[in-house]
Amino acid sequence: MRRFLLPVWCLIALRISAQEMEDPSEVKPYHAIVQTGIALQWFDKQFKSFTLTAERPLNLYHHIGVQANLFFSEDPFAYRSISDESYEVGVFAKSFFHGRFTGRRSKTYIGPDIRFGRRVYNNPGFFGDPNIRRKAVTFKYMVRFGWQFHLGSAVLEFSLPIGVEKERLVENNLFDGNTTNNWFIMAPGLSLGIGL
Amino acid sequence: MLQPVFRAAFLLSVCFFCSCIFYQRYPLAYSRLPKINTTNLTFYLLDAAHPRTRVWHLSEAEFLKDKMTGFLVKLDEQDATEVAVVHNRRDARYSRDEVLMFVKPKFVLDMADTATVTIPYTQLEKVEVYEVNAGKSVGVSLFMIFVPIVGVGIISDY
Repeated sequence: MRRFLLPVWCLIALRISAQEMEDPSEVKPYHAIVQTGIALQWFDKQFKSFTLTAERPLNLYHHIGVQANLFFSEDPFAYRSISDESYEVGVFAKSFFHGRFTGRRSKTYIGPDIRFGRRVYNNPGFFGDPNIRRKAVTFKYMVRFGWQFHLGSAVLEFSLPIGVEKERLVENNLFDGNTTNNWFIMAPGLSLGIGL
Repeated sequence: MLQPVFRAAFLLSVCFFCSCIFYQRYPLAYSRLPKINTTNLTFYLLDAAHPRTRVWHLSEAEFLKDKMTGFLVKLDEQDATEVAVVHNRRDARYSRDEVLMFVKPKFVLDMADTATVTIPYTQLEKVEVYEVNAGKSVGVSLFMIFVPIVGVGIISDY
């Protein structure tokens, strides 16, 4: 195992001690990045979703983008069960941390993340009645932390948006006296993509 | 009643975040030397072969496209070790305005203790600066803050 690792360490050491370093601030960013992956939403109830994002680097250190999350449906007997008609769309920005002198771009970023969505609750009906569907609209405003890795054209990203979700049930009925809810949420995600 | 508690919590959070900033030594490309703002920076020239004992302080530094000029004053061995060695995180943070330029041993072999010199960048072996390791700083902060929250969330069985 050590013998196998030796050439790898030598390569890393060569790169570190290279005399003529390229100025990291002059590296050209991608024209666009398209990613797809999975995301969770905590707390109170865990929702799982399939994510699609497209982002455009404004420069090496700042990106803006749009995203769509399509939620997976659940067992109607589960707490706050949702159907697969639930989705959300949003915009985000990423500001990558960078070196004060070196200009090197960190993998870590921070930025705002705003999402609007539609949630369809799917509760079981009484005594064999069809399921009761309750529609709600959601609005999330979050701070998005994340780590984006570039491996050639491949892009791997871990994101951790943290913030607040406001949910408003669209249809009032007997069971929904309080039609608005606020939740503290985290929405960790893992996505893979390509930089064009 | 709760306001002092919130204030104290806010101050504690600020202190916590400040203590979670990690500095690390990073290589600096020569081509960036003319671009950086040298105000409040301290430049040191180190013999690449003996970085702990042979160190010069560089003042009146001027960085051109392919060379640099400045006035050198040699430090004694104790000060040289202080410059070259970083003992802990706090030491690294205090060194964030220092630029360490490692010169090839051949070039500094017959360099005077005090002199005005012109050094081509080809004679530099490497240049290093202390900068924030953002990944580690953000990662540790988030981990320390949100692990208890996630733990409570999991325990509460929601």
